[in-house]
Amino acid sequence: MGRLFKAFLFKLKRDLTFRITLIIGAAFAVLMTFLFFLIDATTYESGGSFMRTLTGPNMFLNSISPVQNFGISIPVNLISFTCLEFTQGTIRNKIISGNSKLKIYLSLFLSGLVFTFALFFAYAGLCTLFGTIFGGFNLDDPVLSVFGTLGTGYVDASYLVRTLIMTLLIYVTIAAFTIFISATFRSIGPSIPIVIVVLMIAFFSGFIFSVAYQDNETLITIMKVVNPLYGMSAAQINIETGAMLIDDSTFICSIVCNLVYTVLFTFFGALIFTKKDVK
Amino acid sequence: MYLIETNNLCKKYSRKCVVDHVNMHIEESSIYGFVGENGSGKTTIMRLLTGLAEPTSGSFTLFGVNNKDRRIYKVRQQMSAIVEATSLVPTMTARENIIYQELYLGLKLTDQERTDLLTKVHLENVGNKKVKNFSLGMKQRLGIAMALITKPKLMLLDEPMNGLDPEGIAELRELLIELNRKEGITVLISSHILSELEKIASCYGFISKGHLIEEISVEELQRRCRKSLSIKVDKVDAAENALTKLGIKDYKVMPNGDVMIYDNININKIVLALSAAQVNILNINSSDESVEDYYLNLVREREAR
Repeated sequence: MGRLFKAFLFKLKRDLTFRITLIIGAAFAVLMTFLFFLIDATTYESGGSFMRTLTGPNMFLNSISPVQNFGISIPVNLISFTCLEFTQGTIRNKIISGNSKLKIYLSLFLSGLVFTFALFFAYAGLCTLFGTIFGGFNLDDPVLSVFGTLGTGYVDASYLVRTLIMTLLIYVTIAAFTIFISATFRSIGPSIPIVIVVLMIAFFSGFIFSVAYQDNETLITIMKVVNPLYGMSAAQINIETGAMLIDDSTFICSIVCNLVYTVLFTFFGALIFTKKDVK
Repeated sequence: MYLIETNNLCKKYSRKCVVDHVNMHIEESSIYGFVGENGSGKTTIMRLLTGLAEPTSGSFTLFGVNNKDRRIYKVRQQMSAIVEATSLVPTMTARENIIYQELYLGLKLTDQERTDLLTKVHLENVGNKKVKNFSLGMKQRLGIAMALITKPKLMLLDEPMNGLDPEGIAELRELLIELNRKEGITVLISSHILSELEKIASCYGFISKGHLIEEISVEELQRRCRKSLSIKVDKVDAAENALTKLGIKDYKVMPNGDVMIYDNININKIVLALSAAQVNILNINSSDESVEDYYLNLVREREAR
């Protein structure tokens, strides 16, 4: 499997779409930094707002969403990369040369993860870096809630770490799902709308439930368990301290839920891929 | 031992049987010409042998290893194939495509070895050119070069002459003959250009509508395709008796009633024998049968049954 993974990485490095998307990710990070700089110049600097937007934590929290800004382009580009293996027929060469379909699928998933995190860090990493350079990484600064549902709050290291862990796992699930759909349909046409629609439904259902049904414990528990993207909308504010927090149950449910979905998507994706003939 | 042996190999898509109980036998160091019309099942059989598709029923062995055996993956590393079309990454150069293939084969060629491969297919001057700018023939040749990376013992080539110009076809023919004779590579090759197959094949498999009609060595085929006499008569049974009495054993009554005589007997003797048996000769023709004629006759015979 190692050699297949190496081959995929070799192809990834030479993939024009991947290179361009990396550049776009970096450009978006610069653009967002400039945008937040303008916001601060017109609000914070003039005394119209009590918080700065161009800070490390704030830039980090505002750049990690998988369905907003640059995030949504990651699965779309991953679909393109994966489906090209089928449309160019290069996946056939790998089968013909004696690699089992299971190993091919797993190496495709691993390279999908590399693809996803390379783009994620190109954008979110640079955003955080620029925010830190221009505004510092001070946890005493208030931040805008990630998706704007809760207004503003203070963050602590625990909140940032939990958010980072949940976000990374959500991206793993999204990569597993994207590879599953791409390898099943083997064509960009149906794969892109399916992935986008499912991601939107998962994200916005979590968002709506976290706002509209926050007092209904049963519904919220169901959401935590079945919706891998729910954690993105589940931040709460401690009224007394004004600090944002992700409670233990949300954090643990998010980890378990994402791991289970990743295993399920990979298992069924590999199963379908091994059973289906390759054209 | 056969390098490839299929045992009642079947493949169905929905309810349509595209490969129907095929029993194929390919000997080591042979060039097996696979002949059949479009949609006859040639490509599907190659897809089954290469693992791109799974048989609906039946089995096959590659290098003596059954397709259900886990060792089949290891065994497949000794073969290479171009099935349907050459699979290349158009945004990479020819050399990068070779390196990409090396990586998933777990090989590491030197730059000189890569150049040698490209030289073998006359692409040494375009090694750094992106494949998207290649002509169809150049892509085919690069596909062949890539198929040779592993120094395979068996090559499966599905219509490799498609898109090649006459010079390219001749070069490919020479290359395959050289690989077969010098390195002992067994080749399973399908082509619509039967005149080209005739120049390289050492045995043939004729397939039609999913059925393998006949497997025949080139010597046997040449014997059967040698000069023949086709006679149209009014009484076929009486003609058969007369030919038997004359000592002719190698003849065949075609579905349209023509009698094909392959034994090298004086035409006068045959005419006289038929006249003596009160058989009227309606038409008489002398001809050499090509592989194409032979295949078409086989198919017609099968359809008439």
